[in-house]
Amino acid sequence: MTATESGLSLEAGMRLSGMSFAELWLRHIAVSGAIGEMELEAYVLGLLIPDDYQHNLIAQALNEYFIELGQNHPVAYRDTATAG
Amino acid sequence: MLRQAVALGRDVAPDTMGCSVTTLDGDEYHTPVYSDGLALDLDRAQYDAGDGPCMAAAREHRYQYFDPMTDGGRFPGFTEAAVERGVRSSISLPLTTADRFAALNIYASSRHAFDADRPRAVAGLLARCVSALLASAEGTRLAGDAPAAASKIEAAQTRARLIAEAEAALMTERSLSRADAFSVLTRRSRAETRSIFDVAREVVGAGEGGRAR
Repeated sequence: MTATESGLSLEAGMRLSGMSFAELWLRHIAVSGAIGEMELEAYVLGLLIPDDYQHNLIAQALNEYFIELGQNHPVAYRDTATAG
Repeated sequence: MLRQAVALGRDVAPDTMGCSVTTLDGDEYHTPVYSDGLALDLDRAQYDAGDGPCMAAAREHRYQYFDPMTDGGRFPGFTEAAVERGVRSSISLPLTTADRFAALNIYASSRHAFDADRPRAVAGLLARCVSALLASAEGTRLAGDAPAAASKIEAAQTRARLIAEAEAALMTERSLSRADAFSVLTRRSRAETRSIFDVAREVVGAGEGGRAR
């Protein structure tokens, strides 16, 4: 696992959004995620540890919600730093 | 499997004493699954008293947070039995099944055990798992509003195809893994303060995988 950049955790972002897990799951599917709703919940709540890619998929799904509100990516990504 | 899930209820919060499932069949309440005898005993005390938080959660399909020190007036018959058995707080969550009313109950020996966001969220997740297991056991499906749900999923999958196309362009042109291609898209989305879908559309439309930052 690589370093997490500064910003909100998945759990804090989820809480701040006020979204339902069903809505987050749809957003996660839209950014090309492929896990089930319960697995997604478990990652967000910290009951399972996602790999960097999975973490960033969920972070992007959350951030898409905030972008629609005019905010710039408040949820932190894990910096994979190899694709530059 | 259902018993194992209900047993996990004991880990939802510190000082948890037991966990159970209440079902309403006709006008009769039952406890088909429980983590230990105390949880069964507490459920039965509610059925004997004629009301209690787990019955209210199943019947009204609403969360019930119960503190016998302050909520005694709501369930007078049950409160005394709860205090006698050492219960200082409980949470009862409605379960979604297709053809019956049900609730998941978790009892704790400390006050405010379920006040924080985290135990509430974990209890909510467990309730969803138990709902799915109950539905499966009953041979039912949690279809909900199936056509509307299918339409939303289809829309999400359409957007996912756009992301996949952009990833494929980046992977081909820059020899990246899928995870790294996704990172390129998220990085550009952040740098330009716009949606990843706009970035992906641009990458696909312009064939600019090689130019994406």
